[in-house]
Amino acid sequence: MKVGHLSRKLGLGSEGLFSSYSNLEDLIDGELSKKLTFMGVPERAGEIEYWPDRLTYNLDERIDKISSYWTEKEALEDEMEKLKLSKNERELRRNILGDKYHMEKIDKYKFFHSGCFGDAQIKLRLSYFWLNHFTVGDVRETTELIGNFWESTIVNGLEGTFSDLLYYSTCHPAMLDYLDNIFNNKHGINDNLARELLELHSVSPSLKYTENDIHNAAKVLAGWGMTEKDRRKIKDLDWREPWLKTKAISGDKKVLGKTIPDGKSGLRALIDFLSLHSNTIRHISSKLLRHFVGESFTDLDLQKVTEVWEGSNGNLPKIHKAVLTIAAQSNKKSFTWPLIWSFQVLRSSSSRLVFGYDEAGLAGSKIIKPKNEMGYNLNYIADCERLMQEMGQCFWSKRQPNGFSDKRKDWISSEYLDRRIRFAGLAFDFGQPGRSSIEIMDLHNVSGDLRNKLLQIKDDRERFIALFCSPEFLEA
Amino acid sequence: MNRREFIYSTPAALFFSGFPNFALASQKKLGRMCIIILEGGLDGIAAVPPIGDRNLPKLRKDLIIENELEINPFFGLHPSLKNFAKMLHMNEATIIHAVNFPYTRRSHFEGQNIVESGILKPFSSETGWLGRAMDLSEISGRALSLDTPLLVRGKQKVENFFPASMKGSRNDSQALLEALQNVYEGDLLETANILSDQIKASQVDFRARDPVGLATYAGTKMKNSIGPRVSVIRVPDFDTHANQGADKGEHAAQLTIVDDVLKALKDSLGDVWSNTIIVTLTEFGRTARQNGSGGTDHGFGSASFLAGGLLNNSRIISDWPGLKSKNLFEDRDLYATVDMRSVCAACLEASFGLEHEQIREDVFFEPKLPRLFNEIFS
Repeated sequence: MKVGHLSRKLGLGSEGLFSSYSNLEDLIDGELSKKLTFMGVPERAGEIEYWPDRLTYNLDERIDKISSYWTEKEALEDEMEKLKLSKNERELRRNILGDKYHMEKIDKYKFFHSGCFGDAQIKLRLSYFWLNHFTVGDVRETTELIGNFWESTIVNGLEGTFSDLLYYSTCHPAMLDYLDNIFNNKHGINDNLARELLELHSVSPSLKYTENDIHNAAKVLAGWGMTEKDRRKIKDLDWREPWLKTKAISGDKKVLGKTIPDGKSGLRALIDFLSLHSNTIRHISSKLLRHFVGESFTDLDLQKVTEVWEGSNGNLPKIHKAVLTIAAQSNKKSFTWPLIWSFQVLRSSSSRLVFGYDEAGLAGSKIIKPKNEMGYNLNYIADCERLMQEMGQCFWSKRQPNGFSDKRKDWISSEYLDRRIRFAGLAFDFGQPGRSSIEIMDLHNVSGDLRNKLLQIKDDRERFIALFCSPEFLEA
Repeated sequence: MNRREFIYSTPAALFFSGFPNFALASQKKLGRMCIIILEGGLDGIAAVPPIGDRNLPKLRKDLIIENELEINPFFGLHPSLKNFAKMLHMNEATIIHAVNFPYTRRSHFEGQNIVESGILKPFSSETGWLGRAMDLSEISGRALSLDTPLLVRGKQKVENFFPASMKGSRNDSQALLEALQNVYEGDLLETANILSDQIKASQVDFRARDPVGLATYAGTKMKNSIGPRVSVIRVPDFDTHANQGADKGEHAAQLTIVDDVLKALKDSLGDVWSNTIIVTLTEFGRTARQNGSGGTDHGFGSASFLAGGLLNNSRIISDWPGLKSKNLFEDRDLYATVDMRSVCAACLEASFGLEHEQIREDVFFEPKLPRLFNEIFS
């Protein structure tokens, strides 16, 4: 397999990737050792600026902003009631307040922007896998926290162990809210997060755990997280590990035969146990292989990854390297998610459908609204939120905790095909691609057969779309 | 000859790229089937409260429906289901209670897979029970979503409808589709063929894509004699672990969507309503007892709503297991005493004219599946 082919398989595409590495081992080592700094595009000579700190919010700032929003919202509602404002006027005032505090839109833009321009592409790819494994969808306050969950927990977690990643994902306020653990306390058990911790995030149903195991895991989780109202009353809490003794259930608990100690450390003990359980290792190794190598990975592939997992105590950089090496050596096909494919289209063609942050019209930025010759406002076209939704893969959307499917059949439909055609069309029509179809074919080592068929298409736009919608880009 | 015998004796329409063969379709009077998937696990006890079961108030004090709609002395109907109640009164609706697929492990994802595949071993089938039945009947269907649900997957590719809303994008051209058809094979080629047919038929008129908008679209298309016979709509968010509410609240809002979808289907199906059956499916019911956060957790037995002109009488069909602790499944869930596969089989009999024996052998692969056709459709 060549660099261009592997980059197709993994959904990558920037110029730097192709020019920096001559073989696959160097590519994997080089990309895995890069620090993910977001938004920097060295090979484009600073054309795209780094994402500014003023548009990045840490967890404390987010919790403060959410709390301030609700405090002001309650006051606003009271005031509007007294003034007996019309429905439209109320909606307008609510929107103005929302714009002041909401971070979701900025987060989505940053996410999409990094997909197009961020460095350390393989790390970004890995982060999408894990963001999906630990799905947090749109419930209550979660959409204001997902951006931080991705950046602080998932991206940072790529450098550590699976146990750390599982622990900090489980107790991130976004997850605790999404899976209702904010309501799980000594006054009443809510087992939603506990169930998914076992079923989706670790051992999987293959272990045949019991309802009693789920119930006891829920007891371990009782006291973790709090509702927005509670959050406003409590200050100076470490929001990365938001545990309240007063809401916890005291005493030891037994999960899967393992005694879990009382107190805050109980969750860490449970997660350390689950992380190195053979069912977890097998379940998640399989999931990684299905995603990066293809649905028909072999038993030998699985054995290689599980051996690395066991030998490294779940060291993620080593596990990732093992999986990517198998992907590079395998001739199995893997299907590319629509969102990753979208990033690949823009990167590989060097299209500027999405702009630098300063052109995005985000809070505090200079608002530049270029129009193309057809009179379209390009910011309007490059609405990242809408693009992700339209491609069927927005990480901020309402969805079930099993996340987006890794099965090819779940992504093959006439509507999904229509969306890909439309997206590639947008990239061509509005992105001013810096590369021709032929150059892209060269970079990605497409087969001679496909090249011959595509060269028969005379219209540049149609050839561009057909290239990216060809089987060799949909499933490399 | 009664209607069902007529259906069975007429030649089958050919399925090709999502549309029935025009010449044969006009001779055939197959029924329509609309499936509404209630994702997350419907709380059947809240949707159709067993008000005559004296254990109910003991189990869920915060979730008791105060203003239920009257059905009979034992069962009420959630007040959000006003349109469905009208259908009940017009002999166009039926409730199956304490029902579900025989699956007890309470996982959303295993449960949803079983509900759609019709196979009790999760993730073991590439096709869905409705897709297999459509193959046997050689009829077409349409999924009103971006993806194609497992439920309708069979040998033939199924059309999707979920209108695009990408600013600035152009509708796909035939020339481009032809270029893609030239590089595709297998299911990608079939998919491109369907898209090409849709473009030829100029199916770009309807833009709404909320559940009610999609239901209106589905009914409008299914009304057409050459339109799809089957449609599938998903309504998410029935996973009410917290703050479920009673007469009002999150669960009530979800039921209102279901009620509006049912009405939209009835209104838009027009005359073919008389030849239609609508079925709701869900992966499991919920715990009989409320939990500590004003909600309910994953359970077993639930309720299913049937509606449509193919029903001759309205009924509540249930072998009610009771809500006493000893009668609950594992002392927590409403038992499912009716196998939902039998309900689906009866609906396939009624709408597609398939024989029960064929359905149990070739659709559900369950030789002992009981027949409930007479109980539901007589």
